[in-house]
Amino acid sequence: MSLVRRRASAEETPAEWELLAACGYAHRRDSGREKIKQLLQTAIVWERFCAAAERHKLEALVFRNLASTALDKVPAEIASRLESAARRAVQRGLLYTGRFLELAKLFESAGIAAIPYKGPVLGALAYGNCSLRSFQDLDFVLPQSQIVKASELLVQQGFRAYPDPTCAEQARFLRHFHPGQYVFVCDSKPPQIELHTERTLRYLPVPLDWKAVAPRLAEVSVSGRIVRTFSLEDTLVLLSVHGTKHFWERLSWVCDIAELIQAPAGVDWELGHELAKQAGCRRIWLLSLVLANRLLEAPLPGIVQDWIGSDDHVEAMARTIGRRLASGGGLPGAPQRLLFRLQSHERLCTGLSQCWRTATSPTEDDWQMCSLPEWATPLYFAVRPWRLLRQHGLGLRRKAA
Amino acid sequence: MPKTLTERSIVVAASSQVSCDLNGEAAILELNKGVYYGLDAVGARVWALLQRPRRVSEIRDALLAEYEVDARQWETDLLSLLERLSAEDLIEVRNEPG
Repeated sequence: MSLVRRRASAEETPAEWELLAACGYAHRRDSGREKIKQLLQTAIVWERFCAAAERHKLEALVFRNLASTALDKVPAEIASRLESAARRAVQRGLLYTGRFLELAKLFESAGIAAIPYKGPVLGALAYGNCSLRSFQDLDFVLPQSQIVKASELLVQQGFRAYPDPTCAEQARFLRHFHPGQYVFVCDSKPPQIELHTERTLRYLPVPLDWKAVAPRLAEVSVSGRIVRTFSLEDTLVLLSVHGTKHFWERLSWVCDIAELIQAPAGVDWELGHELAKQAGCRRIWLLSLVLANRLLEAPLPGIVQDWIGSDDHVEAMARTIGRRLASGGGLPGAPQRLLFRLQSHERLCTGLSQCWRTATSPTEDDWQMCSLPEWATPLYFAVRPWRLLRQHGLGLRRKAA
Repeated sequence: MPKTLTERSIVVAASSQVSCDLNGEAAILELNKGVYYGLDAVGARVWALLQRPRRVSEIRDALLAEYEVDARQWETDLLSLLERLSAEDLIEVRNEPG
């Protein structure tokens, strides 16, 4: 007689999730194709699979990999649905790529050093094809000293800014505090534009150092045009911080890391490691690499495996994220989020100071909720924790996904 | 107004478009008109060659080396495709004197 220990059903990996992860690659791998073929022999709940592909913004990759492997094993109606979704994503991507190129030219001609990241640039840098990476907005990072000039330029082009540094009342708030990002919207010119600076990228424990970053900028071809963006190594650091900020709730963010790791230019791992340490986010960087390796089988060199092996927490954190993704769970509750934030740093004091900084640094949302006169500006430090408490409570109840 | 194409014409993808590979085919968006176009696998190969300025004869020869096709028919088909691309403002055509 034997005693077999089984995992609880809630933790079992559904076949739909495994298929989604197996389809989440752009760099061709024979093992990936075999796995897709095997998984297509199992019972897939296609509605659940399509919903997951949409939620994780993987329609284009999923369709491409199914189409090149065994589309005949997918029910015709589902194949047609996936193809339509992929075509829509590609058409949207092309439209937004056109807008991106216009904006890049506009910034360049105005002498604004706006460095694009994510969006079509990441599609080209990591996937070698803009159409394989879905994106909903266009992100640029620029020096804080140029934010007013860039905002004026976009407002002249018909965009509405939020917050608006060219508006006197909002500029008063922005003299003291920095928003999460500067957002620009024009109804006739989608998508949304997001400008980030070394001040708004607050989840980077050490602010971006422009003098250090500038010599490392890389060139990438976006639809035949050469564009300057962050190097592979800097991009990995920025994306790992971005994914961790959002608790890696979307598999496409892990795909970005997995594809960057395999980009033809090749990652300089020693440099990447050094940059992650300098940015104060070594564990966050390692976490992104573990996720790419464990969830998407992205190959990691021995030296990186050694760094991962010497960390006490990063494997467990990756397992937690993997389980949550596989179970389709949304954001974790506030206590788990706090614990995750604290664990994201190798030193507890760094984690505490990061949590304190983000919990007490007022943003545009605090200003919007309560516009105080100039003499009362310091009170925003109290407004933010109060607003966060009102919004999230103590987080003892899990929020709906 | 589309220009006349000959085997000596120099052709290149227009600057007013963006494109990408779509499972071996090509998807193109003409930015001024906002119209999407698709090219099949052979058309996509022609499109890839159009990413830098080339003579029509260069494109013809490159593809003749890759595909087993009747040379005369192929040249007719290629010129027809390039004329359509030119009419839709997706390529720029330069005819050098002489």
